[in-house]
Amino acid sequence: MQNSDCEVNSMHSKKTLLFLCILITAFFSIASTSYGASTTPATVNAAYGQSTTVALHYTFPVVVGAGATITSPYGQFCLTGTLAACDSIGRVNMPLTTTTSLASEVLTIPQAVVERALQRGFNSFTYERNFLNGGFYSLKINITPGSVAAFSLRRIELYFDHMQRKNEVMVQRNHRGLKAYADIYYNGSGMLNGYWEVDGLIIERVNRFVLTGGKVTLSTPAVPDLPTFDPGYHIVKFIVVAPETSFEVPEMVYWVKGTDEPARRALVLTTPQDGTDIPADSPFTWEKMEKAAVYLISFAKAEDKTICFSALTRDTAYRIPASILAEYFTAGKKFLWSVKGYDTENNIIAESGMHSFSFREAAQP
Amino acid sequence: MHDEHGNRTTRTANKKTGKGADMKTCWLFLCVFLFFLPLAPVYAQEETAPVTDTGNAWILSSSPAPNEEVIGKKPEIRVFFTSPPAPGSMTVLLDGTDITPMITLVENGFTYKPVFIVAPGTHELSVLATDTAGNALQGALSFKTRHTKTLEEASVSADMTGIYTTTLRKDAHDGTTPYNAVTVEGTVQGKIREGANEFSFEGSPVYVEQDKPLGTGSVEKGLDLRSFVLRGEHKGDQLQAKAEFGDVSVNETPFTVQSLLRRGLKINMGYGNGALSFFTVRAPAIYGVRNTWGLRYEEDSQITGGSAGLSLPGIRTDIKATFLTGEDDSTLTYGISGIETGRRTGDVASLQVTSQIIPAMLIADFEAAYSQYDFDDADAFDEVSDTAWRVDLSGAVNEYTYDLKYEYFGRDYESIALQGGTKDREGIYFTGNAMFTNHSLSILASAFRDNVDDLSIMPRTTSIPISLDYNYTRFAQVPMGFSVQHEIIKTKDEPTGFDPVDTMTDSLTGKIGYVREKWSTGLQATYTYMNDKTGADLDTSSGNYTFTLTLTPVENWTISLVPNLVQQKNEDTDVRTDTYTTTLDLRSQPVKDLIFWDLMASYVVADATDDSIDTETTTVNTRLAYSLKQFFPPYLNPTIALKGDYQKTKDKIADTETDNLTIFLAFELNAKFGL
Repeated sequence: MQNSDCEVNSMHSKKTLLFLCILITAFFSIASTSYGASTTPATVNAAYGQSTTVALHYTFPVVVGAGATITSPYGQFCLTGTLAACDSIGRVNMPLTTTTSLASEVLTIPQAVVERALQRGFNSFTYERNFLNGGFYSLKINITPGSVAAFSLRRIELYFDHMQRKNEVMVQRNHRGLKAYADIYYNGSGMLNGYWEVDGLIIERVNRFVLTGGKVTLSTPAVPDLPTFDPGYHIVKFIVVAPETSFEVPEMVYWVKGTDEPARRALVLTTPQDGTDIPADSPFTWEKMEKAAVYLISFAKAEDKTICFSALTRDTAYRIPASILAEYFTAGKKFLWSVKGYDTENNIIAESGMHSFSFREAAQP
Repeated sequence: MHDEHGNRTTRTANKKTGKGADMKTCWLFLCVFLFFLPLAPVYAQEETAPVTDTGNAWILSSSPAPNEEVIGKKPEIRVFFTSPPAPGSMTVLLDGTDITPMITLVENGFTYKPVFIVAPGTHELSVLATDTAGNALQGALSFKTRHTKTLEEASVSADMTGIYTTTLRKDAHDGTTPYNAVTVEGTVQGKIREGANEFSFEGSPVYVEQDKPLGTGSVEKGLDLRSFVLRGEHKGDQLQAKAEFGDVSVNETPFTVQSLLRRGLKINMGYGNGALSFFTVRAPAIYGVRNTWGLRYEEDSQITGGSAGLSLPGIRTDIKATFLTGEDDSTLTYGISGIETGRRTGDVASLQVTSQIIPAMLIADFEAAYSQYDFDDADAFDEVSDTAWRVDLSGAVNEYTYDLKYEYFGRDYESIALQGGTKDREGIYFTGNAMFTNHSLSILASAFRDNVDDLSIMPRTTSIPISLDYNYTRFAQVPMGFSVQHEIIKTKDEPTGFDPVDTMTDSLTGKIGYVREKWSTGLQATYTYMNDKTGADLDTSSGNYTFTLTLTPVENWTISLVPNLVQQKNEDTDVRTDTYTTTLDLRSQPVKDLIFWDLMASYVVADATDDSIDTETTTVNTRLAYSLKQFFPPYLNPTIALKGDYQKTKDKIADTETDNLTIFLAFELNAKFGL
């Protein structure tokens, strides 16, 4: 009997020992293997009818010993099932490797993948990655209209001229007012963050909320405008910081010539004062401009601003001849006048605004 | 195609057959037709001729003579009188412009050398005066001018700049900046015209060479013609025709193609109230001619189309039918890049009717379009077709303008020439503007929805954006204004498993400035808050504050300083990212027209409250130049310049710092000539 008791005790001890061994082995196994990765975001909306881009960030809670590598050779889009049982409708052959607890990828959900899911009658599917030493990750993707899809860029078009949409120009040195534009097409809505860059120099930061219109047009600022003091070619880009894009940022070029753009100064009109009633023989006078070889004074009808009469002169004063007054002007009616100054090469170097006046009606006898 | 559930069907047909056209032959034929037209006889300007017109009896002779045709761009005018008019009584008009202050009085007459180029054609010279007895004298004569014997108008001009740059200093680790570089750039343009026919050209030749490889981009080494346009035009009384080859701009309707600037051929013709257009252009944007001139029809990347229009002036209505077809396999091209990588193909047809119901006050514009589009020719899915249409009422009444529009875009509507455009949307839009003496106001209100086919497997989203923009201009020196934006985005009929979307975003902007003669300043602040009303509660806020200061202390000195702060905050995690950017711009002439000093600099600091970002970047570009123009003929403009580029980047998180300074010496020569 005593022997039986010993045998039973011995058996218990062995079982306990075995259990403890298993427990210890399991403990170390778990301690040396990562749990499944968590991701940001966990769910994303993909636009129907176009491709969608989303930045995925993986966080791995526990990392295998020093120098170990977490790697995933590819990702796949699954309608149903996971891993080996995945009903795949697309694959991303881009390996991800990290030795830290973090990894990221910019995932493009192609339009064709969305079409395949819809064709099979599904309005959602998953994107999966299996990380060696990192665990299994799955992102749920819902198919939605573009307005509530994940905020992502689809297309960027750069140009200089708002009317003709030229994406290359040549300007004179010190040309003022050169602006670059960017048409940005996107899904969803959200905060667009980026900056304008010219030859590596940041000229403006952009941070604005874009509505669900699908397209926004940005432009470089008026102050400072694009630099045109250095002859040669210059490269303009709009760098997008957020949302992350999967396509390369486009660039365009502008060329600055070696001739200076004639500076157009404001020309000050002196007499008559703006809006006054003047006698028929009243002179029109203006500020003298350095380098002006000739002035063109123009008179226009106030109602439609069409030029009705003009004169050339080298002086800074002009009086309308009596023989012209009756033919081109009417007493009591409002007219506008302005002056432009030209240099010896017939470039406009000064220009005034428009002032109004009217001729006094002749006194009744 | 779509099945009964709205899903695409798989491909059964092969690729569409391609088309071909000999564009070169068509263009050459048009130019030959325009060139070889009969020319009128011309006469050279010689001595003054007697004036036999009895109405000009007091004008003895003139050059040009009455109805004479002279050759020249600035032909001298000489007039002699039988007896001189009273001093100070003469007024001389040329084409309605008083040139009296510009004439030179000679014995018994005057001469005049035109200041500006006289346009070819008919001109009228009028002379008004009084004689010594006080009698009115009046005379008028017509004459014609042309630029050359052969051609009524002819001009050619070129403006070229050559730059040689040598690097005086660069950092040892900079492997990309060249030691020596040459750039030649410029524009060449010309025009010839005879009667109703005209031919013109413009081009931008460039040459780039350096002893290091150029970075990947759109500029390549060697000689190139960056952009060009050849244009032939006929402006007859009944028939007008224009043909352009090169970098042409194509515009038809909002649903088909607008402002598409591409390399190719475009022809427009008008006869009476009818108009025809035809175009064939490359789908991707290309610059330069070294890889291709764009003459050949490219089956995989060409867009071809045209339109026919009819104007009905009796009912103030225009009708236009447009069709285009194309293929595009480009991804990253010059100035454009996108996410789609497949070969896109498609056709679009549209009918547009525009009517001025009440001229300027009520204009109705209607357009209906049909498209067939395949986003990837190589995949299993066939092309899909869909429709789009819109009705637009707009006009202006005194200070007010308005635009009321209804639009419908089918779920799969897309034009190959408007890729990335709107689709799967239906809505109404209203914009109104009011311009008063001291105030201006703009309002935008719209409401639209997607999922226009009411598919049960997708939610329906309603978006309602409203914005208001106001400017107060009573004080010209203190311009000010504000704008408000409010948008609601909400989903409904969400299928199982779909998280609803319910957000409200408000944005408020204020701006004010102060403008004086020698300086101006401005401040603009924008604050945006996005309220996520769902259980996720992912609210965000952002602020953007910009201050602008521009100084012109003396003539030829301009300094601009623009500090800017952008703040973005995640309301859920309370993490805020601040980005400070300061830009400095200096343009100056320390010695007027002799020494030039220009500088552009930026300083950027990015900082996050969770210490995930902490960087500083400083960039400076500067140029100090000395003009040698005084030592050379006027058509040459040489300059010697010292240029510097500096960039410093510091990352406090990664504890890294980089520093680059490069100094160049540049010789620049500009030459201009023209005929």
